[in-house]
This record gives sequence, structure tokens and C-alpha cells, in this order.
Amino acid sequence: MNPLKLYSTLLYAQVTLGVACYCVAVERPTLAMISLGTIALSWLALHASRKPGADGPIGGAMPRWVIFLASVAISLATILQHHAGFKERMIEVLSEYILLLNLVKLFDRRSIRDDGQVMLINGMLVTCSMIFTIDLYFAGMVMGYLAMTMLTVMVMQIKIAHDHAQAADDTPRAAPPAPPLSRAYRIQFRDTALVLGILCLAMSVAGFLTMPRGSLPAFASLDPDGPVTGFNPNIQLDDDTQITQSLNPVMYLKLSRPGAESLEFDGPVLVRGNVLDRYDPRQKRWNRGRYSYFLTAEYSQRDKRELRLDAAPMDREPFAAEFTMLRPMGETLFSIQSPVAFRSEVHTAVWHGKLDNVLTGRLPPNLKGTVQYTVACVDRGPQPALAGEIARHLELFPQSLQFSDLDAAPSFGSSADDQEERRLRSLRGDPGASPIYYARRPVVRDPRVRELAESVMRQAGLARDPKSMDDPADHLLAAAMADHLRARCAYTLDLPALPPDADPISSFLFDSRKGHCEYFASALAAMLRSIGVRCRVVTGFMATEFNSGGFYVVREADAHAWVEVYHPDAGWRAFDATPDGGLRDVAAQAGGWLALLRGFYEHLEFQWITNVIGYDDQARSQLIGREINLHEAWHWLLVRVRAMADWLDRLTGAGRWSLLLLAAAAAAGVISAVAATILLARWAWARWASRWRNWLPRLAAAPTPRPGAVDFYAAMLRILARSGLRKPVHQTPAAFARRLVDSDPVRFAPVAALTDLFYEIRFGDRPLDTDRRRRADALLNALRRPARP
Amino acid sequence: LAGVFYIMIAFFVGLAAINSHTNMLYWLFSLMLSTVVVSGFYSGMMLMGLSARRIVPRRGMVGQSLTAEYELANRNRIIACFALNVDDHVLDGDDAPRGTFRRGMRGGRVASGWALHIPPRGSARVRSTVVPRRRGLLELRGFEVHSGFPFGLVRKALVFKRSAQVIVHPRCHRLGRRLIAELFGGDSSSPNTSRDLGGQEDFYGLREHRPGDNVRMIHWRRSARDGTLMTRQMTRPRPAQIVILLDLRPGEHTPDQAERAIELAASWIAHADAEGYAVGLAVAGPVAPVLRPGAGRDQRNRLLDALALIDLRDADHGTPPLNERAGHLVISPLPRQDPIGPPDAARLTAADLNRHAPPHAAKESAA
Repeated sequence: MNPLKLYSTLLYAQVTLGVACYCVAVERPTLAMISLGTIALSWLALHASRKPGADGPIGGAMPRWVIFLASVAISLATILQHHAGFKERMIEVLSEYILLLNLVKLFDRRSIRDDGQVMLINGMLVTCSMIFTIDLYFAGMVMGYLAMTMLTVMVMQIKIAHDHAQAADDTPRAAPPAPPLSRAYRIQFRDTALVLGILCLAMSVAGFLTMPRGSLPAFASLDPDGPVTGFNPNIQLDDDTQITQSLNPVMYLKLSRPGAESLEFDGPVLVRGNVLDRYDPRQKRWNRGRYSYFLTAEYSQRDKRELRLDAAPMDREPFAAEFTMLRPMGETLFSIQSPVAFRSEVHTAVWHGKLDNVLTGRLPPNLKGTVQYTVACVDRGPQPALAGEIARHLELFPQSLQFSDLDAAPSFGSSADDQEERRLRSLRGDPGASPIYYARRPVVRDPRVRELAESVMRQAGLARDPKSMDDPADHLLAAAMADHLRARCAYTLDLPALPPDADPISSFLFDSRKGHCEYFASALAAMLRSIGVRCRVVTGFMATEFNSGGFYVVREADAHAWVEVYHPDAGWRAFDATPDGGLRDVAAQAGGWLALLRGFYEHLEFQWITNVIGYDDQARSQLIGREINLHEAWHWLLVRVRAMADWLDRLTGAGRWSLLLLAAAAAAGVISAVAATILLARWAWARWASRWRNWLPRLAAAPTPRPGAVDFYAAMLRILARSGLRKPVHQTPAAFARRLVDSDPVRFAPVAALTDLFYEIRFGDRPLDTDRRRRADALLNALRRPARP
Repeated sequence: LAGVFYIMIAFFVGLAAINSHTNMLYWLFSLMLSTVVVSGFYSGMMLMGLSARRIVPRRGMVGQSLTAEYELANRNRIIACFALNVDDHVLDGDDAPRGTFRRGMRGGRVASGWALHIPPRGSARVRSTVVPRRRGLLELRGFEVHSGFPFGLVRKALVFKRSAQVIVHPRCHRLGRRLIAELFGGDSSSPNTSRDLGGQEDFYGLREHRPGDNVRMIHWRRSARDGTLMTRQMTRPRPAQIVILLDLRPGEHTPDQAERAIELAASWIAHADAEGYAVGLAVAGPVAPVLRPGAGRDQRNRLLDALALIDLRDADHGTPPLNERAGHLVISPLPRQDPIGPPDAARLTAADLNRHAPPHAAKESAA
């Protein structure tokens, strides 16, 4: 296609893609529709013809003063609208401003200079978009946008050259001449664009990898409100919030042990988020008690070191849980089991509650995007933290020796208890720090709960003294009650209406018997605490989906709540009362090819975030200073092939044939590469041989004409034959040329010149030297072009 | 300037990347720098293998397009050239500066052409057009091949300091077809008409037949009598001769009026040549060759060349000798008290140009 006509189309395509990138980044479909409609209107006004084939667009560019006024109005409106929160939302406001300017400027396209301004503003818009999101699909859109921009700029240079020549032309002309186009032009322009694009990409990747990085926190954003997910740090039981069933990924979780590539558990992995040990029956809300802040470890991001949270047991090997949060989720930091070490490049401070094993962290303000951190955890095993902390507390506060008396009567909520607690706090001088009560307060006052718990206990053949602090049989009790709930209650996301003054836990246990995971966990905690078992509710995620790339994909629908019960020897153990079918069914809604493709996309996104977005100074140092180890490289290759085979296996269900398929594909790739190498070598050899053939006769001073010296005449005949002009056998070259020149002197002038050259070399014993070859090439090129401007 | 602006933006993107530690911005910054490098590299490689040759016509005419051709050859084996501009530095008189050239070539006008594409080891012809504004020598001092391809961030140029000159003829106006008859008394053959050998009109004589002679011209009776083939020789009319006597001696006329007189003379030369007259030229005042009457394109070019090269600043070199056999047309800027030329000569002034040739009826140049 004519590049001068293609130019406007490319420009509009580029602007459209840029605006689409921005709208996707800020997730505003309405803005996208309005913007794209405006772009279409601009196209209609400035380019679309009135009739098919007619010259001239329907409308024209807006007057300059209208554009000026519109720009001023946009500036004022932006300032007035955002003057209050401009600082907090600076990038967002600026982006909107740039978008509006871009749309207005589209109606002011008069010259190539205006087009350049439109492209520049659009580029700024896409640059701003990069701050809002780092999703893989957005990166793909940006790549497409940049490729489109490069192509547009290259065509723009042709337009500039044409306009430059037109501007200097004194001769008045009705229309600029159409540039001569040929197949060679199209092929070579395409190849040049491709090569230059690859060259730019390669150089940019090299620059990206080697550029030194700073140590400042990443991904500044202006949206303090995180996205809505299924996870909440607290539980509110009486509102009408629906548990989301969205399959959007929330985080990628990679578990690994030293020396192992990745770790996959047999069952689901419970990702601990927040621990809730206090239930407020008035607000019907689970909270994290103030005890949690007892003994914390602070962590400064500036240290850039691994924070040791706790000593790992000697007989347990810790494993690393690498969290890649696609979006920050408040102050909650997730972990698996008991965290013993923490490392992050982003967080500015981290607190670890040793009493409840909860991690919380502080992120830089206005942060958005991925957050990566690694938590070293200890596998399931004894965690005698609580006993140690209680003993430590009693050493610090000997007055609290009376706690055992208080604790013997678990009747939290009564006025007498409140008074006693206040008295104890006044004695201690440290309000709110009494681990004796930790996770033992009764949840509801309904006596039916205790009766139900005792009934289940009796049915299980167990017994417990409610006054005892911790009983070794507590785990058995918890398991029995969880079984009871699973058998007696049903999982549903469609919650029945709750009477106004009814307690949601009692209602769940004795009336509706339907609820989701939060109800099951709350009910189990209420039953356990009613008979004195120390337990708490934990919110987090249940990761079940293991990607073949070696990581878990945690989705919004995987949000979950369960219960942890304390055991004096084994520590805190998780008990999940939710029926198995509940969460799994939600998470396994999509299946088949779509799910596999989604898995592949998530694998790519994980690699993108881990290796590109999360590329930091340490990774750079490792990459640059890395020594090449063939053994490691081979191992790496084998692991990747195996992973690819697994993925193919899942995709096709071909079982062991998947490896054969992969092997066949690899063999085909190798054969293709070898064939391409041979062809390339042959081509290179032909070129070099041709060059040497030209040089050797010169060196030997033997300018004898070679048989191939008149190949250009054969090439001329081939060109003419393509146009249906074949030389009859009986006709001499001179007669043939004369016939053609008589029919069209202008078009076939090169034929006459080539024929003369042919006679000169063939019969005149002249060599085909560089000058003659160049002349022949020029004439052949002139003959290939059917018309010139 | 676009490249400088682009680098400034890249610099700010780099600052933003360092400040926010956003890897996407790092990559964008790296990509922006790489495009600058690639742009400069490719532009340089394109022009490194380029050779150029300028082909200009020897003559042009005031007000008519003058097309210069540039043959660009791409010696490169791999790299194709795209979006090439050829800017030629044109000096014709005291034109106001319109374009700028690198390396000291400033001022004058720029005639520009462009080439969309030159394949590797291929060539292309680029045309640029300039309209001469004054008669005389139009100087093409040097030309520049430049390109901003692929990204327009770096503009590379190749300067060829090769000068060339074009003789710019005065503007020729279309004159009335019967003007000669009106001025020379209705006798288109003029009083001094004569005949030359070689035509087909009247009998001239006999000579021996030579191979190649037309057999129809054999005089059979004389051949039979002499025993040798004899051929008839015929005559052809010698074209009428007109000598244009251009009177540019110092006087009260203005330079514009003198130019108009020269234009009128040129128009008469073109017109008389087209009508088949033999035209000669003599200029009174400035230094100019005296050209005897003659016909044909070469003669016309010689006459117009002489008119083009008249230097009005040096106009006091007397009166040329007269040709007695030709009719004379005296053209002067203004009517003079001391006319030159024979008494029966036709006389015109610059003011007659408007009468004989309206301004809108400019004749296409045949130069």
C-alpha cells in the first residue's frame, strides 16, 4: 500500500492502541468507549470521504483558537476538579489531562508537526499507564504499541521526505505524485522494519539487564484502595457481603526447599493471613486481640537483610514461601505455618507477633503493583511459642499469677469479669497484655453452644476439664467437632436472612445450618472455647491449584477461614470444619482447554513478574557475574523440557505421548535450524564466491568475458516475459529491442540500452566490469518499475 | 531538534525509572536510548554506501520549470535506502535565503527531490524542480543527500560540492501569428528571398547520376543523348532573413524596461523561428555576439543564449554592423531620438510586448 496513504491509518491505529493501553491500565471501560468514540469522530472528520472514491474528507481540522480554548478549559477543569487531592493522585490526574489533550489534538492535525505532537502526547500517556499496572497482557499491549509506533515513525519519515520535497517545489501541482512502489520496496521495507525492531528490542533488553538499579521502593501508585478480593483481615458475620467467586489470581506462591526446584504439597496449602482471637458479640465481628502486639520484631527495608523471626526447630527443615502478590493487600503478610525468617525489597517495616505468629508489614504509601517477599516457614510441627511467651510474661509481671483463677471461669463479657480484668490491668500497669486469656474467651453466651460441644465431646468418648489451661486431648476434640460440623451443616454462599437480634453463630449452629467458611470456623471456635479449648480463627487462602511452572496460583475465590487449636506439645494446629466440596467446587468452575490455557498464561505471568518486573540489583549482579556452568545449564534445560512436557500432557491429555510430541517438535526445530544454517552458509558462500570471481580475473589480468557475463540480458528477458513480452526465437536482440522501443519509447528505453550493452560485451569482447554491471543493474531496475512520477 | 527533544524526554523517563524503581520504565528508557543509537547507525550506514550524480539541462527559461535529475546509486550490499531527500543549492540572482545548507553553503534557494527507496546495489533517479526567476546563469552550487530514516531522531547528510550552471533564457511570450506579415508588409518571403540548391521546386541544372539519387529525377532524354545517366537538380527557397536589432544603449529606460525589451526580442526569435525564418541578432550597447541569420534549433538556442547572457550593467559598446540582405526589426526599451538600423526597419519598444503578447499567454519553453 502507498506509504503516504498508509501513514494516517497507522497514526490512528497507534493512537487508538495507546488510549486503549491507558484505559486497560486504569480499568475504566467507560472512558475507553468515550475515547475510542472521539477518535472515530476525528477520523470521520479529517479522513473519511463523503463518497466512496471522492477526494477530501467530510470535515476538516478545527480552528486553532478552538483547540487553544479547549486546551485551556481542560487545564482549568483538571485543576479545579483535583485541586484538593492533586498531590495524592498526581499521576492519575496528569494521565487524564494528557488523555484529554491527546483527544483534542486529534482534531488539530494540519501538518506533520501536529502529527508528531499527537504521537508525543500519546507516548506520554502510555508511559503514565506503565505506572498503573504491570500485568502481562498490558505488557503485551505495550509491546504492540511500541511496534506500531516504530512502524508509524518509519512511515512518517517517508511522509516527511515527501513533504519536504513538495514544500521546496516551486511548481504548482494539483496533487503530489504517487511514489513509485515495487515489490522489492515492500519486501525490503518489511525486512528493514523487522530487523530494526529486533535490533532495538535486543539493545533495550541488554540495557535493561545491565542498567544499575537503585534501592528505592517500587511501583508508586495513587490508588490507596486495594481491589476487592475474597480475603478480609477481619470477619464480619452479620453483614450481607458476598464471598467472591472470582477466579482472578491474587498471588502466586512458590514453595521451595534449599536444593529443590519447587515444592508441591499433597493436599491443599493453607496460606495464613490474619489471626483473629477476639469475637465481639455486639458487633458480631472477629478481631485480632491486642495481645498480638506483645513482643514484635521490627524490620527496616533499608537493611535489605533477612530478618530472623524465630529460631527454627533443629529437627525440622524450613522451607521458603515466595509470595508474589499481584496487588498489595493492606498490611497483611501471608505465611505458611510458623514463619521463622522474612525478606523483602519493598516493605519499609515488618512486625512479627510472636504470640500469634502473625506478620504485618508496612508498604510505601501510594503503592500499587506486585509485591514480592519471601517467608521462611517451618513445616507442620511443634511450635511451643505460647507457653514460652506466657512464662516470659509472668516473669515480667508477677502480679498476674492470679490469672489462673480468672481463667478458670471463662465467662468473658460479664460485668464481673470486666471489673476483674480492669483490676488486673491496673495492677500490672500494662493494659491489654495478658496472654493468659489469649484465645480462651468464650465466643457467644448461648448455653446451647456449650451443650452442643459437650454432647459432641461425649459422643467422641472424650472428656475435658473446662478449668484446665491446655489439654493434650484438645486436638482430638477439635477434630471431632469439625467432623460434626461438616456432617451437620451445609456449605453455601447464599446465606439465609438473619433475624435482627439473633447471633449469627448460634443461628448457624441451631437454625439455618448453612453458611460459608467463616461461619464454619466461627462455630467451631465457639464450640471449642465454650469448653475451655484455646483456639482462634485464621483468615487466609487455601491454595489448591498447582501450576506446572512450579508454583501455586491463589485466586480470589480461594479465600478461606479455618481454626487453629493450641496443643501444649504440638503448638498451633489447623482444623478446617468447612466441607470439602465448598471451596473446591468454586475454584474448579472452569476446566478443560480454557483452564489449561489460563494456566499457561499464568505461568507466563509468573515468569514475567518474577524475572522482569521483579528484576533487581541482586538479580543483575547474579546475571552479570554468573559463571557458565554446563552441568547447570543442562539441568536447567532438562527441568524446562520436563515442565513443558507436563504442560503438554495437561493440555492434550496425551500422557506419555506428550514427551514424544515434544521430542518430535524439538527434532523438527533442530532440523529446521540445521537446514536454515546450511542455507545461510550456502548463500554466504555464493556471495563470497561471486565476489572472488570478480576479483580473481582482475588479479590474473585476464579480462576475458565469462559465459555468465551477459546474464543481465537473460534477466531483462525474464522481466519482459513477466509482462507478456517474449522475444521470438527468430528475432535478433536488436530487432526485438527496436520493436519494443517503437511501441513505447519511454518505457522500453532501458531495453535498447541493455541490448547495446549486451552487444558490447557479447560481441565487442568487453568485460563486464563494475561500471557496466552497475549500469546494467540500474537499467534493469528502471525496467522493473512500470512508471515513474 | 526532534532528536534533542526526544533525548530530553528519555532522560526524564530515566529519572522517573530511577526514582520509582519501576522496571517497565527502565525498559522504556533503555528502548528510547536504543532507538537513538539504531536511528543514527542506520542513517549513517544508508548514506555511507551512497553515490550521487547530478544531471541538469543546459538551458532553462524564466518562469518555466527546470528539472534537475540526481542519479543515486546504493553501493551497499545489504542495506536499502529509504526516504532520501536531495536538496540542491540554487543561486539565481539575488534571491532571498530560503533554505540552509550545512558546511557553509548558505543562502539561495533549495530545490528538493526525494527518493522513496533504493534497493541494495540499485539506483534511483530523483527529480527536483526549480523555476528560474531571472535570465542569465543559474548556478547549482552543490547538493546534499539527507535522511532521517528510520526514526527521525538523527538526521544524516552527505554533501556533494559539485557546481553546475544552467543558461536561463528570457521569458518567451506567445505572439500573434500574423505579426510578421503586419510588420514586414504582408510578404512573408521578405524582399531578400533567395533559393538554394537541394529542394523540389524549380529546375536548377543537370549532373551525373550518383548511386542513391532518386531514379525519378533522372533526365532520360539527356541521358539517352549523352549515354550517361543524368539527374535533374532542383532548388528550394531560402528562408527569409530577419535580424533583430536590440537597442540597449544607455538611455532613459529603466532596467525593467530593458528586460522587457529583451523578453520581446526573445519572443520574436522564438516566433520567427517557428514560422521558418532565419533569424539573426545584433545588440547595441552591451557586449554580445553578432549572430548572422540562421534557422533551426541550434540557431535559436544560440540567439537565446546571447540574450540570456546580456549584461545590462555594461551597455556602452556601440552599434553592431548591419546585414544588408535581411529585414531588420529594431527593439528598444523606449522610443529613441537617435534610432539605429536601416530606415525601413520595423521598430518596436518594450511597451509593445503587452500589445503583442498578453501576460497570461506565456508560451511553453522549447529550450
